[in-house]
Amino acid sequence: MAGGAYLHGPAFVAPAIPDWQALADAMARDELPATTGGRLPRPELLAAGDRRRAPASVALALEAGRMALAAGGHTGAALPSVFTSAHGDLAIVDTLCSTLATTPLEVSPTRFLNSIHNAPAGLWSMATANRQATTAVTAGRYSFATGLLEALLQCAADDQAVLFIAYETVAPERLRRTVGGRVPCAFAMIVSSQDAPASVASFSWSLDNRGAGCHGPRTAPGRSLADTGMDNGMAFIEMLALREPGVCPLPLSGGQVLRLDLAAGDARPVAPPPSGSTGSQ
Amino acid sequence: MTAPPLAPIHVTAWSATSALGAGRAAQLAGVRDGRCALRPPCGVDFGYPPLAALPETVVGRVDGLETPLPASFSRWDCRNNRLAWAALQPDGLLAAVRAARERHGPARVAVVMGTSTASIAVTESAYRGLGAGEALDPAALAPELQSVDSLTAFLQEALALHGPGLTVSTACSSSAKVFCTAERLLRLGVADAVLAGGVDSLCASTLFGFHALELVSARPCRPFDAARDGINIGEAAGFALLERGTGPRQLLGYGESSDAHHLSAPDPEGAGAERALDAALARAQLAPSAIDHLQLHGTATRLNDAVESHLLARRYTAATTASSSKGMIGHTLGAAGVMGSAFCWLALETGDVPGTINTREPDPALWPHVALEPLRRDVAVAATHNFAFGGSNCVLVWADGAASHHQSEGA
Repeated sequence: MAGGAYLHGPAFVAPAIPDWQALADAMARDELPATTGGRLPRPELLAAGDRRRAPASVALALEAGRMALAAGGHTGAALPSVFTSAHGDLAIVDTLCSTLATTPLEVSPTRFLNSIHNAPAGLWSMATANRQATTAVTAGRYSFATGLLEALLQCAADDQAVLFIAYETVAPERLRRTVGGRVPCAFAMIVSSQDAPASVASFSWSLDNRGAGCHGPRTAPGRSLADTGMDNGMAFIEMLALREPGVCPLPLSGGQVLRLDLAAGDARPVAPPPSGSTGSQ
Repeated sequence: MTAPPLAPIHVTAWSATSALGAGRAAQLAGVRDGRCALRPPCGVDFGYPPLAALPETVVGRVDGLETPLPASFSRWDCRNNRLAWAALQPDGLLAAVRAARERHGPARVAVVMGTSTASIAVTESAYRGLGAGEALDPAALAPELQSVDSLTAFLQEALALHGPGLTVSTACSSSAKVFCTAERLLRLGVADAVLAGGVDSLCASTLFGFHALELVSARPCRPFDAARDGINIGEAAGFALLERGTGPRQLLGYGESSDAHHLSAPDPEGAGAERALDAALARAQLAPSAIDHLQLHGTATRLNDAVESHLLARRYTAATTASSSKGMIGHTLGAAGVMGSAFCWLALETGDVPGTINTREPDPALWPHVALEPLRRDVAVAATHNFAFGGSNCVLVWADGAASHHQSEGA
């Protein structure tokens, strides 16, 4: 019930945080970036005409994925992918439910399609001409850790590299008291059983019962971004950005934790992660 | 990528509830009778009043979901979770889950559910009560229910299962893909038992959404018929307890792929779907001719059946009995994968194969071997096709692990 993975091309995007380096710099300075007023990224993978119209979920997820591939030296067509999000696209939920409440026969077919949880995953496969498996998962406030677990399982089960993308949108005014989140953002990375020149870190993972030690992010930018469905995942992202090795336990639903032991920075892993399947058969 | 053969895992207990009724016996009776359980929609399921008009159609509705959840689970109360709770009761499933919990320990039992609707009907309802410019009150819409994960989270709490919980939401392949995740959890030793399945329930989003896409038929759907003109929305719930070992309902193979073509229209040649089929057959180490019964995706849209037919013509022969259950229960969307599997398990257990109900004049342009009437035959291997919006494909191969005549024939 444990495994290991190399990590390629971490990527992050939010309004006012254009890329991974900008996030790492802000966290290193412990300085809050201007997270309000910034614009959502334009998803470069889409045709020019579609970029402006792309829903926030699609713009965030596709941009993070594109940057992770570029940084990790991968081409899009080769990797299966796992998309995770606690809330999907809240602006679309808001618009769809508003229309359904008043003029349901006028629901926009495009908006309905974009409301499905795997719309970003489907658009990703189209934009990268990728026929590998994609999946779209959720686990409420545990979505980051649970999606990462799914990516690690796919990586270990079939000895392959897997693209992991976590994204969250913000709640429009009407949903704000029900659903938290003030900053839209997306994180992406590739987990692989193989070391490669593009590997920036490695970690071992295991599941155990939840105990002490779960912590949130410590920097101001980390804390401001954790005010989204990314929740505990931001603590892991922060350790990665600050190149701080150590243990990061991420709570899962049910009561266990996904314990990540990060060997970060330029250091090679102390012991190579096991390849292929692990644990009892 | 190499796809290693699977270490054996199998369904040790299961149940399903659909418009045909509650539990395995009701599904089997519906299959044997070739019963169409589709009926005109009740406005109340879709927010009426105040809705003035519903699209002209029929739906696969599960009766008896008016009773709220037991008081101890009241914060999870919604149609989707009522359906889940009702579907856990038949066939000794609750007792089987409880026994697995005791056998393996609560932290070793995972819950992996597929759904597309989850509890969105609660959000729809809350919006109908809003005035202009008014914000939603958490009392009208609890955060737990404004979440696609509300089904899995409810089941984890209600069944006191503390292993990993995960919701797959990839539209109509959701509750097929849960079995792939379950297999990985078991193979890698992350869990010793997995409750896998899916629940989708009637709501305005899917009815009006599919209507907006002009994919809803005004009459009972007719998969593979020359006059087919769309789907009927259905609701259903199905659950399977998966554990390691061999048995009469063994997961022999699975394949997942993407079309990379369009959000709603399938790849016209079915190349993405074929990739999923190839992966499933490779894992199962079987040729298509070894599949005795195939549960088609068979939604009765013009395009789905045409694309699926291309795939059938390329890969299957008349040796396979293929049929679609959509004419009996409708397209149950996020529950379609587990319902397709449930009809496979029934076929493996009893030899009863569903007919393609309502279809009268098979489209001469399509694959000619679709079974219209229910029948009985030896079934040692059964497969199910699942193709979803977003171009998400999943093929599952189930087999009677005790039967001997599906040994490797090469893929």
